[in-house]
Amino acid sequence: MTKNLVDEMHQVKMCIELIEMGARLQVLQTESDLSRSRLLKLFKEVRGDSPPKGMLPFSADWFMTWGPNIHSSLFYNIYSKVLVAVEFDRMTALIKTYRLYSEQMMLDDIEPALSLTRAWTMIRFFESDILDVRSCTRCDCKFVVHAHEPAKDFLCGICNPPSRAGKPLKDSGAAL
Amino acid sequence: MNSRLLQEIEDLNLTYLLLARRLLEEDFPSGLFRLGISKPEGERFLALTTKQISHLSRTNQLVFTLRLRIDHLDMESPLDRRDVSSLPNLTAIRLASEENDQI
Repeated sequence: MTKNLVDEMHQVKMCIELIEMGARLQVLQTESDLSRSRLLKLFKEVRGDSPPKGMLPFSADWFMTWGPNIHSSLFYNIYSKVLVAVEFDRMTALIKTYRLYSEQMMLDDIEPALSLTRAWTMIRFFESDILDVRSCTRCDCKFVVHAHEPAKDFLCGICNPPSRAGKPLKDSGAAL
Repeated sequence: MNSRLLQEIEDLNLTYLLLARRLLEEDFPSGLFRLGISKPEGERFLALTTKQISHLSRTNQLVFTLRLRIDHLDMESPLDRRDVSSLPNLTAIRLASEENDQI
């Protein structure tokens, strides 16, 4: 239960923004105190449709595949800076970061490889110490990696693309 | 230096400082990210009066520096002969990846 009306209003506002950005119901259930029935109602009002059913994708390996890894790394680099700027309010940082990331996708005229739900999943993987970032030994930029992997001589997917990378990516998971 | 170039430097300084202020006014945390500046720097920016901004602009040097590192200006990449049409502009990653101890 939410504590008071003002707090509830803030949560409703946050959920509306998340729904507008394409968040799945599970994101809202985890991150807000609103009841499932209220969230369902909110979802229908904002999207004009019931939320999609089914499980969320759980694999951390998706973030390691070449194209998605470059997208994920961009996202996480933005997120880690915005998070500090918003004094560690995770959901505000997620919403602001997703806007900044989407803007870049628009400028590049490409589909965002990360859906909002996928981006949220990634942040949770960082928080539970499943993912981490590492600096490329060549370009010095930070990239998403599995946590606790040997760090020696790490090269990123831009400096050292796998041989098959760069053939057109069929499905990068945007239709989450 | 000819006065036209001097004028362009002053104009660019002014444009930069005014844009910085607008970005921070619109969305302070995102503005800090776009500008690559720290919170105290952002707060100082916002406190500037238009008169101060105009004064800061009137110099024969630029008030802002290049954020890209020299190796980022080297446009050759191992990806040159690959299909990178699904990737974001790499400059975005490079800038976002800067050390953020200052934010």
